[in-house]
Amino acid sequence: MKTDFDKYISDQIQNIEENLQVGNWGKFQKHYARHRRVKMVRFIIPAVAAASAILFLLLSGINNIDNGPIRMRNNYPLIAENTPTIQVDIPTLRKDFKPLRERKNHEPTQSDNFHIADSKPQIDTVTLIREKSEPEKLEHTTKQDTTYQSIPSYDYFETNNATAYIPKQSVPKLSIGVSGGQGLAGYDQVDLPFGAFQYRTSYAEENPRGGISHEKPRDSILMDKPVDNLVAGKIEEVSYKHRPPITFGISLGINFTQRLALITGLDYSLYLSEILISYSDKKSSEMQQLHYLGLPLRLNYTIYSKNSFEWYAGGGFKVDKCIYAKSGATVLKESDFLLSALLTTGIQYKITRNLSIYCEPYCSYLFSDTRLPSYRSENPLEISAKLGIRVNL
Amino acid sequence: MRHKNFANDDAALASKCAEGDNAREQLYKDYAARVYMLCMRYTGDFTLSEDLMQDCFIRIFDNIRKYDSNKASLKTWISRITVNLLIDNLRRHRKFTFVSIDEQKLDIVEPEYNSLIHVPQDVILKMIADLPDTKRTIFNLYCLENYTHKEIAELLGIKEKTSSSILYKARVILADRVNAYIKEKGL
Repeated sequence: MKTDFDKYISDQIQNIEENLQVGNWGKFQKHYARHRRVKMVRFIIPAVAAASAILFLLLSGINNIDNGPIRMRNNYPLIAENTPTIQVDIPTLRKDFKPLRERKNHEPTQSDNFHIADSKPQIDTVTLIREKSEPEKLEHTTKQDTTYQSIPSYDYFETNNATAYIPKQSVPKLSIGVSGGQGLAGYDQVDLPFGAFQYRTSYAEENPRGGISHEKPRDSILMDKPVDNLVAGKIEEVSYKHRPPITFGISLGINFTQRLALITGLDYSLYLSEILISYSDKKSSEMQQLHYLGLPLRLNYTIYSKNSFEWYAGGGFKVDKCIYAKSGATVLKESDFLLSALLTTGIQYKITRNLSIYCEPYCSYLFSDTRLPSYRSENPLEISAKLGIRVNL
Repeated sequence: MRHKNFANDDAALASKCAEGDNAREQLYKDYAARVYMLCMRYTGDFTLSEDLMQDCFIRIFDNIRKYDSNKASLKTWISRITVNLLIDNLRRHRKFTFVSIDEQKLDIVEPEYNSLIHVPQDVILKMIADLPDTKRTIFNLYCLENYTHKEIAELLGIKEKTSSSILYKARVILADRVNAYIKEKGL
């Protein structure tokens, strides 16, 4: 049963509702559009993942990565400087070599080391010709040869059943990168509505340093300075001018195959915003700094690689945490983690065997809601680029 | 059965909302204060209320095709959606603690009407906002949204008696605070 007290309170609340001015359709439209995009992305991601898997399988069948040994004229395999090698024991140099048909039951007497390219198929019998002079006169020998031509100007190695162990081509490797970049879009200006920042501005008036806090000043909301702001609608305006973020990072890559690598690391991002607060009788401005640390995790796939040039693309996720936030003199807090999806492509140029430079445009989409207004909160879909150096270990 | 004209107006607005932004803007402007105040009363937090208001309208627009003007007014339907979302939010953040209270040990001293009318509206709102989460929710549902104890019990998954006893305690706290305010201000 309702009491008179209940009815009185109900009437008062009804009265407040009728006089209250809240809501900003423009801001909601953005919010709603973003919600619809997120819904669409949730639908699209499985489709894109399936298409990527198919593409991956198709591309895996095309061998366009040229890591084979450099071949000179006459198709003699030479060993490139950066070619992985193996060692094989073979019999000693035989000065008194004779064609096989003239010799029988040859037995090696001493071992020696030499290198062959790992891309050379595994062989049972190895015959290597060491060139001394006049290579144009050579007749090429292959593993299929069963007899040899005796040419006086060459020494011949010959062995029976020399088995070469060839390791797998895709040895996992590590790479470490250092990168930096800035958002590619320009400034973004937002005028925020009265309702959203009502308590912030009322609190700012009480703050002797003029700062804004996201801490809940609950006691100051309604008790002390409530009536004007809430009922009569003393509208104040907060205008944000967001700058594109600046990002630095280190990355660690683990190469599973020649094409596929897992990339992780640590990214630091700085989001700066200029805030203009308009009161009824004064204006003040301050700078907001948001410092984020992010942990990206993505898969890179090498689409094309030739000589020192490499083109790759990748996708994954990134988790960001606000480590420090400040607006004017007031420290802000955000405890939630922010999740975003990453799509990236990049080109890499190998300067030396272990050192590469790369340029990596990427786009990220922020799924999580953040209470700290920034360039990112206004532009969930962020396009940016990184330049970096990568060290292959 | 609702009055036919009102039902037609609500149905027309709802069907237009499903088609385009102009009607959505109209609905948003008409009901923003209602939704915002609901959020404010249930959470007691201005910033959170602003965020939740946006979430409520997203849910409203996502489900506007399901609105049946013959069953309830648009205002009631929007209020129900909002309250359900707010209850979900409170439940998700484990804000509810249900403990039955012995009503015999508590006495309500309701403020006198002549003094009560001098208490500002925002002070009353603040006092409701400052109630503990469970008490605030049940007080809002019963006194301001006109839910019955049976409906509250079903919504929150509690016994009717628990709802009743918590409401009683909420009234006691609220009355005490209003009385203290009246005494402090000499009203």
